[in-house]
Amino acid sequence: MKTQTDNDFDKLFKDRLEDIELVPSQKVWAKISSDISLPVKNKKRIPLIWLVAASISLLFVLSLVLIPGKEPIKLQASIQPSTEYKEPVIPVKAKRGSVGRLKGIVFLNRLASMRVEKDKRLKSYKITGKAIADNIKNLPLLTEVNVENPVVILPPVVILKEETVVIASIPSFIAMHDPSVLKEINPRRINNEQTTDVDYQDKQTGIRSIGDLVNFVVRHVDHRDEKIIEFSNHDEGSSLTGINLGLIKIRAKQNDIKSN
Amino acid sequence: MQPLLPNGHLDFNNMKASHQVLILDLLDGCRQEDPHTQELLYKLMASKMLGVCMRYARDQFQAEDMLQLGFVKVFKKVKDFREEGSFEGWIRRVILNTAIEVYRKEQKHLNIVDLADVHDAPQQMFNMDGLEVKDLLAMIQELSAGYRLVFNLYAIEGYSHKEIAEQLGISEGASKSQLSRARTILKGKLAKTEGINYENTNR
Repeated sequence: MKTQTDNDFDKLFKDRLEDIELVPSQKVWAKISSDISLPVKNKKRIPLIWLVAASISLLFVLSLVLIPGKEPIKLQASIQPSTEYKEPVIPVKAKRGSVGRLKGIVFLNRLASMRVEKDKRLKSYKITGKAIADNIKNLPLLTEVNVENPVVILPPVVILKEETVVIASIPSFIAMHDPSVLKEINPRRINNEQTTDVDYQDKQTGIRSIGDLVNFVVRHVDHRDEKIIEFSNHDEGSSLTGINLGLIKIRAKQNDIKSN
Repeated sequence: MQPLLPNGHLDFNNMKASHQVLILDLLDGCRQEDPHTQELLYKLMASKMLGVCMRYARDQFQAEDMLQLGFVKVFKKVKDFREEGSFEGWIRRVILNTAIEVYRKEQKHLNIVDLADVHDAPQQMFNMDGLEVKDLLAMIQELSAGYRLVFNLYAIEGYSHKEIAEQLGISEGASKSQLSRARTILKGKLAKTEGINYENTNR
């Protein structure tokens, strides 16, 4: 009987099995394809530099807010009005009866009597305010007093040299110029609600990106027109559009952002 | 130059003939993560690599799983390929490493058999002319995972016991014993098959 070495034995297998080929089922490529395309989907990420910038600004803001025993730095607006307040903020305790309503009317009448030539927005407020004042006058007086000490806080009014009038904030009821809505208003319940444009924007747009989050935080800390850091949203996400470090101010043009 | 059909599409049959050249051409496309190039490379190499996986797997299902994992690695690591050897050889090594990885995950420990316990089967001449490739493949697939792995690495891939020991994290003695056991089992199976064949031919 012939004998066969181990190497010969191995060779028999090697010769026959080394180069075998077999067609795989089609599902294999489908799985591979989905596996390798997953990271590609995640590839469209926010550039690292923006993440770093956002993180630094967030840390800065958090350090201002969270460090105990230190007053948060209150940043001042870069353009100061040249004149003082004509009438500063006056919290008025409305007396029983129609005083609260009258104070509101006083404000609206004062608004209507202001000289406004340049600011179209303020002009529209004037017209609307007049309409509201007229409507309030026509409302029946309430005899019962359910709410104690209703308060109407009038916003500070600033008159600049160029005779443009700036109102720090507009009471929310001015927006309600629809006469049908005004009929339902109980003037005693008008409190010192102050709705700023910024808050309105927050409610409208919501926080959709890191940029929005940073903007939201910065807006509540930095009350200047030009914020310390500002992001803008566009089709490809959000990007840094402005930095205001006092002496150094960088601001990207809106058109540039849109085109990018 | 890639072979093209008159309609401008790639001629797959001609490409197979010169696929060594083509595979190198595909390297750039794969590095740029071009999906069409990746699919083309897969189509060119899949059957060959599934053949490799079939030897290391217990059945075709496991072999296809190995193939899938292996090709995902190929596409993810292709940027690391430094062109020191052939691209096909590199792909084969990636697939082979995947097979080893699958084995490790399935079986934490090799069934180490002490070398002293190994008794070589009597040397006998086998005539495998009458055996089909699928029968030999089935014999290998029936081996336990450890035996199958070592037999493949040593007898077919040509690795030394030292290399196998390093690759699998076992001793050289353990590698030798695994191989010896694998051979004994295969010889037993062959003898059985030849006996059946002998009986069939003499009836």
